[in-house]
Amino acid sequence: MKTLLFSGCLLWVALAIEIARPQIFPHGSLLLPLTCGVMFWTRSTTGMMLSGTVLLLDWIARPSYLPLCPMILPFIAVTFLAPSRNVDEFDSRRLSFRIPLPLQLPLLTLAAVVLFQLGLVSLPQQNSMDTLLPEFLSGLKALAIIAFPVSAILTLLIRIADEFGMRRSFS
Amino acid sequence: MRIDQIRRRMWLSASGIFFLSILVTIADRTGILNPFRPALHDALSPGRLMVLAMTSQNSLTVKNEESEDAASNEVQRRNETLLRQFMIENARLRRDLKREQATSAIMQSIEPLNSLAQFELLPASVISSGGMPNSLRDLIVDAGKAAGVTRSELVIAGDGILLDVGSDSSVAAGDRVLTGAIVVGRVDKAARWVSLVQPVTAVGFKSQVILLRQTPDGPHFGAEGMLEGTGNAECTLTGIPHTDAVAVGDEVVSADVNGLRGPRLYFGRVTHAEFLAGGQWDVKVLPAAKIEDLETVGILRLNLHQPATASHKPGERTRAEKKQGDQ
Repeated sequence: MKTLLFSGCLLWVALAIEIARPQIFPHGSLLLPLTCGVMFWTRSTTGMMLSGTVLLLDWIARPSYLPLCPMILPFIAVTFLAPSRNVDEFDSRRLSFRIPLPLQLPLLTLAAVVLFQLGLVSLPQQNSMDTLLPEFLSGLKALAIIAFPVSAILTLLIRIADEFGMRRSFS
Repeated sequence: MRIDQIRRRMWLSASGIFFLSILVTIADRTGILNPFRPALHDALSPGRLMVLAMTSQNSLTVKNEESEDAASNEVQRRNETLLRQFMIENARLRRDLKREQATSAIMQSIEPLNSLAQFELLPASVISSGGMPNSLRDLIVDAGKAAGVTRSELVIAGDGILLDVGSDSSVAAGDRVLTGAIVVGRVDKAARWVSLVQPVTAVGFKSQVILLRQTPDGPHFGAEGMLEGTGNAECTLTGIPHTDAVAVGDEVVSADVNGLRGPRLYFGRVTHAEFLAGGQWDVKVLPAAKIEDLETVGILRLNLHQPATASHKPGERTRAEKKQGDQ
C-alpha cells in the first residue's frame, strides 16, 4: 500500500512537472518512463491498474487523438512482467527466450513512447505520409531524449534495489 | 497455480484498463468528459504551482542575466550600426568634398572671369504671348500720328512674346528669358519699354546646349550640341558627334551663357534620337517652356564687377575727403 501511495505521488508530481514546464519536459517525457517504472517495480495487478489509470487521467487532462498508451501498454507490460509458467530447468533441456532484465524497462518505455506518438496522430493526417513521418520522428526524438535516460536511471535504481533486497519478489 | 492466478489477474487488469480507455474515449467524443477536465487540472495545480515556485527563482536569476546580456548586446549592436552609418556618411562627405574642391579648382583655372561676372535676373511681365496685339499696335500708331511722333523704338512687328521691360531696364538683344530655370527664349529686339522675345522653338533660335543623363549614380553630362528652333513645337539638336550617345529622355541644359559658364538652364527633353546612315544624329527636343501659360518671366543679364583698385581701412579718410575737409 505504501508503495502504491508513493508511486501515485511520484506520478502526480511527474504530471505536475510536465504541465508546469512543457518547454523543458515534452508531454509524456517524464510520465511514460515513470509509469513503466512503477509497473516494473510493483509487478502486480494494482501497480498496472495504477499506471494505466494515471495514463488515462493524463489523456483526459491533455487529450490526443486516441489513448493508445493506456489501451495497449498494460498488455505489453503483462507479456514482460507476468511470471512465466515455463521454469527453466537445467535437466529438462527446455529453454524459453526471455528478454534480459536490464533491457525490459527501456524496451517497455520504447513501446510506450511509440504508442504515445501514434496516439497523437489523427486519422485525417494519416493520409499524408510525407508530412506525417518527419513529424512523428521529430516527436519521438524529443520524447526519447528525456524518456530513455530516465528509464535507464530507473533500471539502475531497480537493479540496485534488487541487489540490496529492497524490492518484493514473486513467490 | 499461483503463477497462473497472477497472470490471469494481470491480463484481466490490462483488459479492464483497455475497456476503461475505450469508455473514456467514447465519453470524450460525446463531450461528457468536458466538465471533468478542469477539475483534473485543478487537482494537478498545487504540484504545478509548487514546481513553478521552485523553478521561478532560478529562472528569474537566469532571465535577469540573460536580459542584461541581451540589452547590452542590443546596445552594442545599435552602436556598431550607428558607427557604420557614420563611417559611410563620413566617407561620402569626404568624397563629395574632394570632388567639389577638384571642380572648383578646375573652374577657377578655366574661367577666372567668373569671379568678375555676376548674373542677375530681371523680372518682367508678359504682355502678349503671341506678339504685338493688333489693337495695341493700332492705338500706338494712332497716338504717334496725333502727337507728331515720327520715330519710335517700339517693337511693332514680329512673333513671339512681348515683355513689359525694354532698354530702359538695360535689357539688350540676346539676353535669355527664363521662367524659373527653364529657358523660354532670348530677347530678339529690345525697345525702350518693351521687348520681343524669340521663343526657343522659333526659326533662327540657336543655343549651345549639353545633354544631361540621369543615372542611378547621379546626373552625367554628355555630348554638346546646338539647339535650333524649327518653327514647330519641337527643336532639333545638331552638331552632336557621331561617337557620342544620345538617348530618348536625356535632358537638355545650357552649355554656357554668353560664352561664360553660368547657371545650368533647362531647355527640355530629347523625344527622338535616331542615328542616321550618314553618321549623323537626328535628335528632336521638346522644350519644357509653355509659352501660352506664361505670365511673368525673368531676363538673365550679365553684370561685370569692377575690381577695387585701392583699398583703405574702415574709418580712414580718402585723399579727396581729406582735401574737402581741409577746405
